[in-house]
Amino acid sequence: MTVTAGVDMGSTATKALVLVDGRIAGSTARITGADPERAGEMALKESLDQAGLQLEDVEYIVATGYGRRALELADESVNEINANARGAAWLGSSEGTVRTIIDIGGQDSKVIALDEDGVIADFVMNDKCAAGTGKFLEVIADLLEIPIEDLGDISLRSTKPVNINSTCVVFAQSEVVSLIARKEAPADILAGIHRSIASRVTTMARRVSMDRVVVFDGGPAKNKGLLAAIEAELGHPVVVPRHPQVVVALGAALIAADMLTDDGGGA
Amino acid sequence: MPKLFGRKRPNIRDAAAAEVPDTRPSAPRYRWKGGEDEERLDELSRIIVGRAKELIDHYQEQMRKAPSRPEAMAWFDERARFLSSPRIGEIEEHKANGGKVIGTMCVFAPLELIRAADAIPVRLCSGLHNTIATGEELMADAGLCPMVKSTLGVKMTHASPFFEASDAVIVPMVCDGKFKLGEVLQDFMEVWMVNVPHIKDTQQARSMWLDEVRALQQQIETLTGNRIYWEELKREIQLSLRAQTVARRLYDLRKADPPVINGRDSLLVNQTPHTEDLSVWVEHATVLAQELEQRVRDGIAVSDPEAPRIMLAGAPIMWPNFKIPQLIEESGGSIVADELCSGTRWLYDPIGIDEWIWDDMFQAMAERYLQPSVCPCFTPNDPRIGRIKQMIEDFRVEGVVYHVLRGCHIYNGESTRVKQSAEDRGVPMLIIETEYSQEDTEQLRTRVEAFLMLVRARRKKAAKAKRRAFKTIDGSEGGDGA
Ligand code: SF4
Ligand code: SF4
Repeated sequence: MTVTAGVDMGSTATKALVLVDGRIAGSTARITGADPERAGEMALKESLDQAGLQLEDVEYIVATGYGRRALELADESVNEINANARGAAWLGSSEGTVRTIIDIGGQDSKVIALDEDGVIADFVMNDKCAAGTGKFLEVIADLLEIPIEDLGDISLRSTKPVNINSTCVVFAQSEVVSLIARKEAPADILAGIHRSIASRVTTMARRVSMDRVVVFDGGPAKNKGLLAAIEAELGHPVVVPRHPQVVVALGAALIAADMLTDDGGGA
Repeated sequence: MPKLFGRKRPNIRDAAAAEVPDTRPSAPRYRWKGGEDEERLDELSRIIVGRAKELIDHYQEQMRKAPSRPEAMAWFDERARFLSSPRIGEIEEHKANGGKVIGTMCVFAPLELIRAADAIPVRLCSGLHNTIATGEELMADAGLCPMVKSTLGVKMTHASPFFEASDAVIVPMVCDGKFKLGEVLQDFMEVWMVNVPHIKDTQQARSMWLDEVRALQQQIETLTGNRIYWEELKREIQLSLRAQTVARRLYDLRKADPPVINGRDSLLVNQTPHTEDLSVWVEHATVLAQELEQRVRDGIAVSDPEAPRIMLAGAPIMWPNFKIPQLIEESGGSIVADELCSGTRWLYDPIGIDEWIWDDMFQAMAERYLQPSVCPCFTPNDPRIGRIKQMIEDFRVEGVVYHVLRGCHIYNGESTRVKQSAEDRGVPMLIIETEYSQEDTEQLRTRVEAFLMLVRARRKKAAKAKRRAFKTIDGSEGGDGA
């Protein structure tokens, strides 16, 4: 039995995944909070519990994400772009070989292009500003007093999405405040917000890849309204994995398994 | 053929007659409160110099970590601590004896003329981070290139002894930032603006450029009180040729696989002539070249021999703003080539002299600053693309990192074309847009690391493909381990 684990130490959420003989045996996601290392350990422990395993059973642990250096019990750390590519390519798509990954994280968003063998061909990142990231959604959910899980469903009820002019989160926030004051329906406001994020990330996507087999992952990929907006911008369907939040952790666990075989791993 | 030169070898009497208009405004155009309170200015200057020294120490410490760094780097290290380098004393002595110092920016000032008049040229383009805030007090444009603001800030705070020693500065009109910088600087010192034609291969451009250089000659002669004679100019052209020969040797040594010198060290070596005596630099660079040649013979690698071979392209990276090269090399890449105007670009196309007569010499010297230059201030700039492609081949480059200083539109504008032509050769390119501040280091690290992984993955793939091709030719099985 080969047991490996991947821990994705993100800025907002920490994810862990346990792989047993090439099958996913457990996975969790939790808020990162003030102590990333502890969050990583806890996430790992919870996934191991699901799998009915102990820490000693794990042969190799790979950490990834911005906080990857904080996790001392990891054997290795890898870059999250590589982990993401590995995870998404492994999950695959019924539409064909995965060629484009749109990842929206807590504080950044990226688009990764893969070649026909699943090797990274190019990537673009937005990590300068919160527009087009999960943070943006969080802020808006707070303002509208709607739980973040419900954003998608509510926005899908919109009949006439509003136009959000500001791309900067701070300005968009005040724009939304005035939209609320003007009694615009929350559904329409949310649909407008989703559209604005979608237009940002799809512009990035077009810069690196025109391929139609697109996987959308990261926590916000659970938001159906955002997914619909991205599909509308791209003009074709997009695949969302069953657990979009743990794709990067999965990639890390797969890379850990690669490292056990002498291939040396990598993308 | 029209005569390009109105006069032959100049003589002293011409110089006396040559009226150089004083371009300095009589009263400052800019009010700068910070400059009025001398005590506070001194304090600011002390803080800035202190922080700058820390930054220099930081990068030097990182660079010394290389497992087998060439011993000859010691001299360059000493000189790189430029805020306290022994060079300052040498320049002070030169000035005490009535000598002049002339500041330059970019790579357009005719250094041979400056030296021929017994003046010391120093390049003032600044890589200091913490003078930017002061620079912004007079050039508040948030979208302006940090190098321009940093350079202005250095003058305003008197942070650099080389700037302070400069009796005048030659500012080329290359980009919006530089020519407005020249304007503001006029409040602080004598500035000689130079018109650089942006379309350079027409007859008008050539003759305009010759006129510009001739005007500079007069300004230099008037400032120094020294006539520039045939003999001195010849001597200085020969010195430049000698320097370019060594620099070329060092350049070729970077083709070695595995690499024998780090990219950061190379960059530093190429920037030392900005302030040093060129003939002294030649001696030390020669020692370095010999050491590196020995390493090639002995097969001593300076870093991981398997490190991805990276080329650094784009906007100037000025010591001590070594954020990007540091990131690349600390993430496991090896910078084996650069096309920076603060790097190897100065050695392209040495001055070609057929006959050592004044007109030929002067013309060849002047033209070498214009025609071979691949600065993106020129259009069309196809030779730059060609040069980059050639370098990719010569240095077996596996990935290009293209550095854009935020606000530098001319470099940014050429990035797509460079990226596409690198990709045409199967070489990926990462564009990094950044400023001097260290704020974005961690985000950039993620990108650089991912890029290096990408380069490694491509290498692996290429090797596999090669093995497969070999197998089909060979007709035999096996050999494809993984
Ligand atoms: S690229 Fe050209 S204009 Fe820009 S700093 Fe270098 S020499 Fe000057
Ligand atoms: S880096 Fe670009 S914008 Fe800045 S001075 Fe040089 S050419 Fe001008």
